Amino acid sequence: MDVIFIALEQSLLLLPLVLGIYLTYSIIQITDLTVDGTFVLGAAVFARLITNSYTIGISMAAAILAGAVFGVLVSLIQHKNRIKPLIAGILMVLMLQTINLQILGRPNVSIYGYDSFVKKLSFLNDNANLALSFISALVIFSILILVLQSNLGLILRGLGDNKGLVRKLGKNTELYKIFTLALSNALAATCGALSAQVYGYTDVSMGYGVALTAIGAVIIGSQIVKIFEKKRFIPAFELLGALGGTYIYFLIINIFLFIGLDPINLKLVLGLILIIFLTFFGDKNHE
Amino acid sequence: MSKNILSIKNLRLKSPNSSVYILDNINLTLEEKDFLIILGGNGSGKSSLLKTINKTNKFFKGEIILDGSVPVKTASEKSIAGLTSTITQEINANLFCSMSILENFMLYNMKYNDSQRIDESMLKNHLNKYNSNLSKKINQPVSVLSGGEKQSLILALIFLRPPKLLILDEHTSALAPMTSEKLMKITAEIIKDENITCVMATHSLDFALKFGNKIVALKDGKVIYYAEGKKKQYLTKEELARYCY
Repeated sequence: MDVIFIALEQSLLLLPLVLGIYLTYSIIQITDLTVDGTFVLGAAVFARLITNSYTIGISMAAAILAGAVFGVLVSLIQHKNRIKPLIAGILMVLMLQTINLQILGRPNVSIYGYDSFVKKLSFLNDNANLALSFISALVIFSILILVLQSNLGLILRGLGDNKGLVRKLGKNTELYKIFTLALSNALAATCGALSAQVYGYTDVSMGYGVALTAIGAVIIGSQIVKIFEKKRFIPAFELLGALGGTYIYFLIINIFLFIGLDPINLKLVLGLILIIFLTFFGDKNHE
Repeated sequence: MSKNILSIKNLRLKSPNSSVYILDNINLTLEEKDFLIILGGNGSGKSSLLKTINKTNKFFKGEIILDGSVPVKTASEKSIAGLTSTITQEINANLFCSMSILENFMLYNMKYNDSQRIDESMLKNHLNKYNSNLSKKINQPVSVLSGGEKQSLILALIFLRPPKLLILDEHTSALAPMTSEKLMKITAEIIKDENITCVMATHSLDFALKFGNKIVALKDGKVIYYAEGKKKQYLTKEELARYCY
């Protein structure tokens, strides 16, 4: 039973980042790995501000804004395909390693004892982490459903389907790409700031591999959605699929650990699982 | 006096990787309801000319004016999109294939500032004019449609709100001859009924003779033949082949 609940808590906590990846990878069909860096950026900005006596609201808002700014920057690097999205993302992650270290001042900062959303929910005792993850997931879930159901969501899906035609219809495709990457990286930063509160610390290497984890979860999710959704696009199904994919991913990790897999080998095993999923279910048309 | 919908003066366009002009000193004028046929072999500049009119090719010399007062060179993509609609030979390039027919209409409708609400029953009536099968599939993804259905859908999308200038770039060339002819007939009927100004590139001498009131033939980016009115009406296939190829 523990395995089931731990996997649920982990999936809900990572969901903002997974949904950010869903927007870039599935909706506008760009592989953006920047979230590896903006996840830590969100955690670093939050940790830096909260330990300097800023309120949770300001620290959280600054973390989200920082993620959005770097989303815009990576989009500008990619501008008109001068640098491919994959390479631009890797470059940004590389630069963010230094930036995150500069923000934190050292590789690891504890925020234990400082104000946080977890602390605000401490009346729920052991369930505070789960409650925070659930509330944040619900809020982000609702916002994204509204976005995907709107005309904006339709244009973003159009962008992923046929960028040239969106341009021909008089829409500025670059602006929509910038918006999506900003939103995606803001979600990653939100996820980082929340993770820092749940774990009680920020570490410069805490984002290593989260982008791939999220892509894996999105791919698993898209397979689940195909079973139920058939031919129509239903935003709630799509997002629930991403949650399902994330849950299955974490369930696999926890089952491996439960049956005694040495944690040293975990990333190797997960990498192999991702290769299998990407080979059989991944979209080969991604930039 | 009728308004000029398209006016091209001294248009020149260089090939991106060389100093060769792929369009050289083109001058053309289309008034309202004019239907211009552009004829020419491969590499003659037909598609390049159409792509310059709708600003896909941005770096040209000379002047292109749309709807009497909109200079293509400086106009925004949105204003060009509001005045022109282009159908190309690559069917899928004109559609959002992973999205439903209804969603395609919603997206096409967004190119207008005053976009109207798309009503399902109105849409079904509209689709019936082009292909009755389409009205039964409005919530299905476009990817499940046949080539002919897709091409009918493109016409239905374009003509939901007829453009000032319709640009057809060999739009039926990827279809079987029978389907191609049928679709061209529907296209011409709507162009006539809706009083649309149109410019169409084609390889087909038959289409060139049958449709349009003006014709221009291109070779190596230059105009080598032009006819309009009665001169165009009484052209024979042999004359056309001799003049144009």
